[in-house]
Amino acid sequence: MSDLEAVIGLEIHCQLKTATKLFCSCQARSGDEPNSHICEVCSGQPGALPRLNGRALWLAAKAGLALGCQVQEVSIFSRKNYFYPDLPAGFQTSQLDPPVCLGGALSIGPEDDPLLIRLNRIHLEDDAGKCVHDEARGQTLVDLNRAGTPLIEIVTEPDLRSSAQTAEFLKKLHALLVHLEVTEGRLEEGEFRCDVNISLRPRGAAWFGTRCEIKNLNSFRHAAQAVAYEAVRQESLLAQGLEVSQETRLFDPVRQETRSLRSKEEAHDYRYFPQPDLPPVLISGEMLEKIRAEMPEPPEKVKARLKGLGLTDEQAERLLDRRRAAEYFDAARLALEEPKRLATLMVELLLPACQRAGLDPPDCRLAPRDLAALARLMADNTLSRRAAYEIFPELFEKGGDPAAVAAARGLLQVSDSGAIEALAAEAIAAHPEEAEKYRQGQEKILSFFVGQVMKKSRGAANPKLAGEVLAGLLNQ
Amino acid sequence: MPIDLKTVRHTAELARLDPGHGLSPDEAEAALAKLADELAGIVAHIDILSEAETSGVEPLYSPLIEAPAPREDRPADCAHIEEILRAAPDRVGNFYVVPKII
Amino acid sequence: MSELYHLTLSEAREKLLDREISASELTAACLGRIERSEPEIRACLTVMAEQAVQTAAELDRRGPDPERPLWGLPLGLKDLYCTKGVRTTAASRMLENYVPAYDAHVVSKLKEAGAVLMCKTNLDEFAMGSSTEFSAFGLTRNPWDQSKIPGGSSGGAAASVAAYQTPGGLGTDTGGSIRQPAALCGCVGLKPTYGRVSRYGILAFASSLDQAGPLARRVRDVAWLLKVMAGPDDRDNTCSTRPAEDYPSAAPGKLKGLRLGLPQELWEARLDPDVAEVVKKAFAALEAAGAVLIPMAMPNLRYSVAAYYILATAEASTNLARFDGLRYGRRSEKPRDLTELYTASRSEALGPEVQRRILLGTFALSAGYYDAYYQQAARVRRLIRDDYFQALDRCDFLLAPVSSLPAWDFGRFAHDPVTVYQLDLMTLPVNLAGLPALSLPAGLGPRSGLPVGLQLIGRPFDEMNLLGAGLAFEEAFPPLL
Repeated sequence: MSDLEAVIGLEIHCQLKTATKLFCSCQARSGDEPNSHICEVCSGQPGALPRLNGRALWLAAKAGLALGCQVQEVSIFSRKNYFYPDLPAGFQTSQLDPPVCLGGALSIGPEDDPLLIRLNRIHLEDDAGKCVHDEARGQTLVDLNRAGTPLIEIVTEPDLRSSAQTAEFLKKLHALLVHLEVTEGRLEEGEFRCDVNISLRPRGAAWFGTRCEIKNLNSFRHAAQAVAYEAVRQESLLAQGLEVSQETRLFDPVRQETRSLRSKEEAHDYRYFPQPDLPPVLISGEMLEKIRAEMPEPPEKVKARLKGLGLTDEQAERLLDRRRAAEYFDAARLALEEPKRLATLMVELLLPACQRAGLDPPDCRLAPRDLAALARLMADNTLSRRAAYEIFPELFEKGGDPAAVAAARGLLQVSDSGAIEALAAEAIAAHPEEAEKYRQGQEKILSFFVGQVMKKSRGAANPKLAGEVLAGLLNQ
Repeated sequence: MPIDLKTVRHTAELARLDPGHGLSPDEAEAALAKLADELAGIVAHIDILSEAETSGVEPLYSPLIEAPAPREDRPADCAHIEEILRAAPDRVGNFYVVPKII
Repeated sequence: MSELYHLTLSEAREKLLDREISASELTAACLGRIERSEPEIRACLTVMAEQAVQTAAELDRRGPDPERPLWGLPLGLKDLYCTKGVRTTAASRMLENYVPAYDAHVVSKLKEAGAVLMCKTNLDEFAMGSSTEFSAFGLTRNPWDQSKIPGGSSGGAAASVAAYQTPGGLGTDTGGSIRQPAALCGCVGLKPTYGRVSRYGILAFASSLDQAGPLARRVRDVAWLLKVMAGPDDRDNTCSTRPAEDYPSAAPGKLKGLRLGLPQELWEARLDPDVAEVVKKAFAALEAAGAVLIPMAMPNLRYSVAAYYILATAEASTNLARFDGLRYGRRSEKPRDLTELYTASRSEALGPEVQRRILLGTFALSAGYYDAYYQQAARVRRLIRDDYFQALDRCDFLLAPVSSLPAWDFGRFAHDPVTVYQLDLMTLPVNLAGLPALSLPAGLGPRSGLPVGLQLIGRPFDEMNLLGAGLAFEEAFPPLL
């Protein structure tokens, strides 16, 4: 790869976080019984007409604003015509010219030397249904639950140069869109998937080589692997004096290779034209103002703010990676201004638990103020680190006051010298003979008194402190 | 603009139509040629469009003057899924069935 | 003329509300008329006799309701409107056994308004044609002369109304499909402004041109039907949010001083002598009544047939892509693979005219031809609309022929699609511009004895005044039915 460079552009399909489909009121949710979320519109019945979901438009514009795009005052939907069993109307409703957003960019790389990846456009479109191949009976089963689900397609300029950059860009874009609540972004559900266009050329050349398109990559790792494989494949073709043929390829994650799906000759003629069933899509300045007003802090700003609070780079990133983690963190800080301690608890305990449970932090049972309470118990030595870890699963599962949970399990350390003093005084008063013996020099008897205090505190007193307090009282 | 056999064949493929469907190869060829003639005849009349002076004219795709705002994102259950599925020529459970996709 | 089925819609309506007749009596009379006339006219693809009798009985049980504008009135529906539980074919083999899961918006409105739905009427397959000869299920005959076509594509609707099967019916008009059969059968037909009536649940031919509308025997009758059909529908994003107006209350306009624009490009076209003669008399009568006839140059109308046949077929080619034999409709037997399933199902079940138009539209949108055809046609469309707007600035309404020919013999243009397309010149420019137009009978041709029509064209959403002018015309030119 010394004298060649890869030129990479991406087309990312991102499912919008809406309750309903793009053009009908069916629920936009996958994973249910086949064809249980269909109606005459999304199943392509004769006479049915689309009606645009305003929320989807809102979210597309929001993504555009966050990515610095020019959000178009007027855009139009077009029909993209082709036949496929998962496409009930015989066309996809997409946008060609103009789309909802033009331009924009997202930077990757170090903050002091960022690499700007330009965006070409963002457009709205509806998703297709799903085909399940029944090999045994030689037939294909079609489920239209996903048909009509709203997507935005984000198209980048060919500004990426490596698999590492590709993965970094995708990760950052994903985190941003999740952070904005534009998408749920569940990769395993295909809610954020991309096509990669890649070609090679001599390093620094101004022209483009023949490119291949690798379809439907739904993890950052696969995207990076596909780019890496494809760059090597194309390089070896060129090294042998062969040509790269323009084609569409699929990535096989098991074999770690791409293979040809169809050549350019078989390319479709989609016959795009303006969708006559839908009026032009209008976005007013007023609407953009409202979107701006609900826009959360951008991730870079959140990160800078977190680091300003003393969090490490890694802690800040971990909080940004998990959707709404920063929101939870900020809520906890309202109860306890100990950012570092809270971040540690979140990174080590809360976020892994949320990950396993598939929950966003604000949706879990453990309220931010209770996490703050837990941190406070640790800070004032009432609860040992080990005890905190021990009670955390229960707290996460059931919620509640950590002090009560710890007390119920007898894990609280009473480090309040006033409380211990009272217990110690009681113990001395109840055992005057032993006290006398101590004063006469039998110092070993102190451990008897410590035992008494521990008993009275039901094991919660800090034993070292109890000893000190007892010695002080006995020596008076 | 001429519309030749090759164009007609390509257009028919795009439209998933086969003018010679169910005919012998010779008949199919004749049917295609006849269709090409008909379409060429129509297109010859339509070519009058090229005479219209349209430079600087914005295309008008729809005579729509006023349109409603987009709808709210509120789900509604479809009350007639079974009636929709009942119209299917072939189904397994609630799936539509088609021949295997190669 | 003493039979109940001879009553006009407005007459029947009054008698129903006054309890002079019952819904069941009227329904029975119309069903009887259908039964006797159908063997000759063949206007209906499906007769919903049992359902109609039941509906009428139910209405009678509850009694007349003035809040329901179409209470007890038997109506026909072009078989392009989806009717829940009732076969809807579009006159295509493809949908021979298709039973929709839902009602078209307009159908729901008719039901709410108390109408008795009687029959699904014949049409050219998917509304593509001007004579109803392209129906996959046989010809419909013109009640005036059974050797003639009834016009199309809403030929079944017009013939049904002209044969007194029902006092009114619903059609659709993409390039004249309500107005031309209305004229050829001596009925009144209205194509409303684009966006005045919801298209939801009406099988789409060309989405930017299609508009549903009524046919009946009187102007006031179509006003009653429009009152129920028109108005917002949040399921059609191209349907206006303007509420419907009280069209039946339209006051008759005055012919005196009425300024009528005559589009020269249409009047100078070759008209059949019968048509020319009826029109000549009509012009004389209008001028005698004080109307002012103003010739108008609308130079871009000469491109309208070409623009229409590109735009309409382009939209149709993708509107009809859903008819693939996968989710409903006819599927070819034992296809070898998926591609053959598509191709065979479509080739077997779609008729030749439909296939021809799909191919033309596919061609117009395909790579390399889009700019010269589709895009250019869309630019021309704007020029045509501008011609209309300018002309309408200089007059109250435009007045045009509806058809250059009276009803013609079956098969006359069977091998000449281009000529048939040219015949639509009189009607289709109005669809390109999205304007409302009212087709009215003007008299009988002296040679043929067949009806000849005229159309009034108005400004967008000006149906109220258009109907008012129609009432004035109706006084000058007595109804033929």
